[in-house]
Amino acid sequence: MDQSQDAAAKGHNRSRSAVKATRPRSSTKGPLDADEVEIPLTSPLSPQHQQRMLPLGLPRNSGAASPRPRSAAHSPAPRRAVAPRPKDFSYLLRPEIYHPLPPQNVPPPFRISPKQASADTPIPALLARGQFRAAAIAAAQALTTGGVLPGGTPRPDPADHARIFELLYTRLACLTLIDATPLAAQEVKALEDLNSAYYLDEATGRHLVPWELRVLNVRLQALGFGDPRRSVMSLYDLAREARTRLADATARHDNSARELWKDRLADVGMRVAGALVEMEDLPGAAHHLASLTDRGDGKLVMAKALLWLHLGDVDAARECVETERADETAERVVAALCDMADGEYEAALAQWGELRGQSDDEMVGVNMAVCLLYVGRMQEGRALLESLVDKGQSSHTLLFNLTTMYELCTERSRTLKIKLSEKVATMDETPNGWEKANADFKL
Amino acid sequence: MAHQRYPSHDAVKEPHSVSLKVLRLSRPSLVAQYPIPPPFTSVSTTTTTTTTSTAPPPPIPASLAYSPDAANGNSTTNTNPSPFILSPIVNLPPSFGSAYVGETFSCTLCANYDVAPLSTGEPGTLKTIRDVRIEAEMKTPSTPSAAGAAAAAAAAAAAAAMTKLALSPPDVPGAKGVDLHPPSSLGQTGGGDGGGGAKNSTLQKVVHFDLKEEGSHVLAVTVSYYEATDVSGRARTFRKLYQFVCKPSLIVRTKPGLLGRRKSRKVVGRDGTVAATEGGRRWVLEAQLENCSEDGMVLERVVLECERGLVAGDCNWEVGAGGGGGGVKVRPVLHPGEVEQVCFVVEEVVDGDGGDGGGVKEQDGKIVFGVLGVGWRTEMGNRGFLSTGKLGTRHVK
Repeated sequence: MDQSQDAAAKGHNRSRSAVKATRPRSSTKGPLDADEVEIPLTSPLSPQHQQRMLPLGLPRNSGAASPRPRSAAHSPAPRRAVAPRPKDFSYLLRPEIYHPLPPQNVPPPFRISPKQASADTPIPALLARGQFRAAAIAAAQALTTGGVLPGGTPRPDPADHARIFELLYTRLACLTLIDATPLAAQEVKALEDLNSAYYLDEATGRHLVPWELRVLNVRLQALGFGDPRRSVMSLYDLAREARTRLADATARHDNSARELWKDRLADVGMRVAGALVEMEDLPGAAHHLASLTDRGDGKLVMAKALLWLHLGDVDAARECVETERADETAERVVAALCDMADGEYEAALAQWGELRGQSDDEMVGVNMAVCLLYVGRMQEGRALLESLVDKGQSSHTLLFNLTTMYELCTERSRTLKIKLSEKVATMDETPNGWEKANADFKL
Repeated sequence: MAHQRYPSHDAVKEPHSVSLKVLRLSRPSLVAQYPIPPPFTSVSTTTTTTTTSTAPPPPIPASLAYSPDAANGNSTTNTNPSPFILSPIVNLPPSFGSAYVGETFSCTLCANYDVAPLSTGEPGTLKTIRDVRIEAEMKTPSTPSAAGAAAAAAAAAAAAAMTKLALSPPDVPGAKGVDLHPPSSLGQTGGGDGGGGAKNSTLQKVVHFDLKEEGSHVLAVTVSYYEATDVSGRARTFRKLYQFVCKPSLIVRTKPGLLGRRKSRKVVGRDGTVAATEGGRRWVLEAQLENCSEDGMVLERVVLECERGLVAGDCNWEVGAGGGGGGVKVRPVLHPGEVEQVCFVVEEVVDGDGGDGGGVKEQDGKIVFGVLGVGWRTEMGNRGFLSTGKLGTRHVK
């Protein structure tokens, strides 16, 4: 990534061969041109380029941002000369975009539970209760028909971008939470190219789409278009914007905005590493993490250690927590994981046992139970996992490991799995997620 | 993947009261997470130029791989590196995966009290299961067997030629097998009664086997037990076969070459005399290591174990050189299909008073260098190790 520094100074001169022809390509500047005065997304582009980046199927003359082709020499036109007209986002309100979410994937104890929300429950309440499938359905309904009940809230005004994007973010975010990421990756395509000038506020040049949705869009579009490398580029686009806004905020002595953009920049930095992991470029991710600075929360050193473990370089993981200041708990967690990676499950088990004496962390309990299975004490591991469920914990990982143990315990594990699903369905509704899918119980 | 099962062979048609379940114990894997901020809390409105805001909200808990410690929710003790994609919580292996030469195959075997529920109306006689034993053997492609047929019958016929596997935890020598008891129902087991004194409904063992050959392997597991009701009892046995294919993981190609003698040097003899000697003969051994598996691997060490009279110098990456230095220390990472080239300088040891010819023996005009050992790690530290046959050269001079 860093080589693009030079390229960025000269403009677009990177090879375009890597991008599928079916996609509009956005600007690809390097990450280090953050000090540009101008926001890069509004930087002059060749007319053909700007034309190409328009979302397909949009009304081409709907705003001043889609100029007719001009000569290349004359591209940065004064945009504010034309009074901004409201933009039409009705292409995001088409019902055919949104897939149905049938309840067949949900185990019966959840489907028939009295905890299921009624159809008129507002979306924020559904989110707070961890009923993400219902929230995803409600968001799509709000976008396409304007609420469920007759006389409900009207369908959003096609120009009400704030409302539309909030609902769309809810929809896509909830899909990722109910293991329907492939559907989200299809639905996100409706947004087309968020780098298009169409998504910019003509008066201010700011992006109309909320930051969260733009970040989520990066990963989902990369999945949807089968082009994982695009994630990295798009994240760098976001990082560049964050830097610019950070510089603005600093110049204005706006401390809260500065903190916000700092946080966002750091967040994007970690997500770049994640995108590289998803591309299976683990050495690249390691190099990238090495280039980030720790923010004092210990997350970076943990991320590095986990990446080394994932890659298989156990010594590097150990060294990482030893040489960089990791807090004691993190160091012990990594040490225990390293023992597991070395196949020293007894030693790891002892370490998890000690950690468990100090904290209620679900991770510690689950990892200890896994170790118990590896040393031939599955019955104890199963009891430990069941005790975590009794305490109200129900992460995908916990349920997956417990149902795997059920499969080892008997030919008739289905009975145990159904009982487990009944038990989890009686848990309180929290933002941790209440409704589970059949896959969570391997049903 | 290539994990097949054959029906058990037992004269008694009645279903067995003990079930056998197995899980290949590859390394557990770190769970991926995709943290996202909760909807309906967007901190900055989208169009305003002046952003009045606080820090971004923490991610919605459901998007994390596990719930954080409720008691210590603050960030200093939080072990989750969110928004990073990897989390420290682990999953058991989801599937059999691929088996590769050079790895250790590990598998857990569980013999369970699994008496079928009685048909309705029939008064239940509780069966007692006693003296349960598990034995495991591995048939490898080189195991002599009837014409090498992979069929179950042939495998069973070849049972005598199979490698018996050690089970862990080991049985107490001379002791009886284990008694199994009906499992308590869900909820009762949850009370933390899993301690050693509890009545077990499962006998669990773990086996390990170093995979050294390509081709079809068969893990054969025999379970024997004594089944008793109030009125009668009998010894029963069944056997299950699990077949899998072991694939090559690393291709090693070598090429020796002549380097010429080392320049003459001074050697201090045992008695302190200094003698100028002619340097020993030198060769270059190059090797290309190709990852032919489907997973990435980190090369941990590549060593040439020399024959007597030779020493080898390593011209490859530096591993563990101090470590403190800062920058990312690089062990070579080989993605599937990638090749790493390594090189060694092999030198004859010229012993001051060892007489002519050093300690190197020539055989049929050939000098044998030694064997090349390659150790690697894959995801989550899973180990592999392979050594070549004896490598050498005909370029004697």
